[in-house]
Amino acid sequence: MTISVQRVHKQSENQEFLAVLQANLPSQPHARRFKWLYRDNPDGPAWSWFALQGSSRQVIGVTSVFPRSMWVGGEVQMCGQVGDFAVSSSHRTLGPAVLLQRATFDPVNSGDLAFCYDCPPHPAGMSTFRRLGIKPNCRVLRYALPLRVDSHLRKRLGAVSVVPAAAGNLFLRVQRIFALKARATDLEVSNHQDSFSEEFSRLDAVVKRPNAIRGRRSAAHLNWRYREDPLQQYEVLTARRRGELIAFAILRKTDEVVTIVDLFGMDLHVAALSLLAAIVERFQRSHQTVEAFLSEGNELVAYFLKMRFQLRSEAAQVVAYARPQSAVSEFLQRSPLWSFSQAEVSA
Amino acid sequence: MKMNMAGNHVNLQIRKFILNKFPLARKQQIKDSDNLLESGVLDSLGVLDLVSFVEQEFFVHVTDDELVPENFESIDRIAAFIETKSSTSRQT
Repeated sequence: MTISVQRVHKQSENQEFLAVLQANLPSQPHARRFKWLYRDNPDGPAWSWFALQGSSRQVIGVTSVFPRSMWVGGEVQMCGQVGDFAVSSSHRTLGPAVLLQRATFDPVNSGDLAFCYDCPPHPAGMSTFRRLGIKPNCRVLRYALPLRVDSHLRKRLGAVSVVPAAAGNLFLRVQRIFALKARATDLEVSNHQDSFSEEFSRLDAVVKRPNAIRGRRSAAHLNWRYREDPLQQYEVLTARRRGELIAFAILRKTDEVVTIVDLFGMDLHVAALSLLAAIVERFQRSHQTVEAFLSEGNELVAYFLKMRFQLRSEAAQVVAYARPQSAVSEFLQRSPLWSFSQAEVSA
Repeated sequence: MKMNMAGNHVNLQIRKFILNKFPLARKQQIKDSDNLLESGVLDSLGVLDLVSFVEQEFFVHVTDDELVPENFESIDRIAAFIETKSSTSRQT
């Protein structure tokens, strides 16, 4: 039996594509986000591939590359993020996965993308790259700050947890007092409920680092990603100095956990701390934990640690592919700073 | 007869490797004909380890196209694949 890989071109193929995705990655309602994620992305439509089995041409796997405009060494380049990688359980012998992974390199080899990257969240996701001899570029780590202990103690102790929980919550608040004082007094932090306007694009263009790689945060991208997402709702906090946008944070909430999806801006030595302090104060009565996902070397790590966030676990690895001998490939080999957060890791 | 003995030896070596490497294989007390993929004994990372073992131990080169269930879904299939690869390389 041979396995072949074929681009998904026709609209009539979408249902088959979605069926494989839904059967093998059942945690997401793929049909509900398909148009938004695959077609409406302001950076362009996704490239998608089928892995097909032999002469029956049964679909046994799928994957996609989502175009993503990024800052690469001080210049905007069109890159791509690999996502929705699924192979049916009876075919997880690596061969179909390797062929699909190679297919994701096609838009890079053709010059449509400067590089593509994947963020496998677990060791099994690295197996194709190990087979292809490609090493990870950096790790993304999960940092967490416990706000309350009620839920944790209730699960362990039941009804008798009330007094210990009150003591625990008080202890956590006292621990944070000094960290919360670190905020800048000349910054005003507030909720941003409107669309993202061009001031966000200007901020994105101002924050440049010649040796860094990060996602571009244009108004068009932010509106698509955080205002038009059909599955998730996000809260946005801005930090302003005399009305000028200095930084912002994007938050996603569940019943117990607040995830800082993105924190971005200038003057981060004051703005990041002010935003983090505002987040902690705002959610310390209603939520158990604040978490964030940051790449190794991300300058934000220092501010999260100062706010008493703790390193908890490895969340993903970033593996990039650039066309061999290209300028981008050489740039990637010079160990640039991967300034990634959840904003770059979520497909 | 000679071929069968060689085949059995290959089966034994693969079996030993799988039992050593994958705790689920020990727990499930797998037989040589059992489907290692459907039972969850092998995932893609497991296949990667198995391929490295096969290449080193039996001096065969496994191409990406050969990493398919027909060749790796059971100990019997893996052994048959190694036999085929070995006889092909002996002939060339």
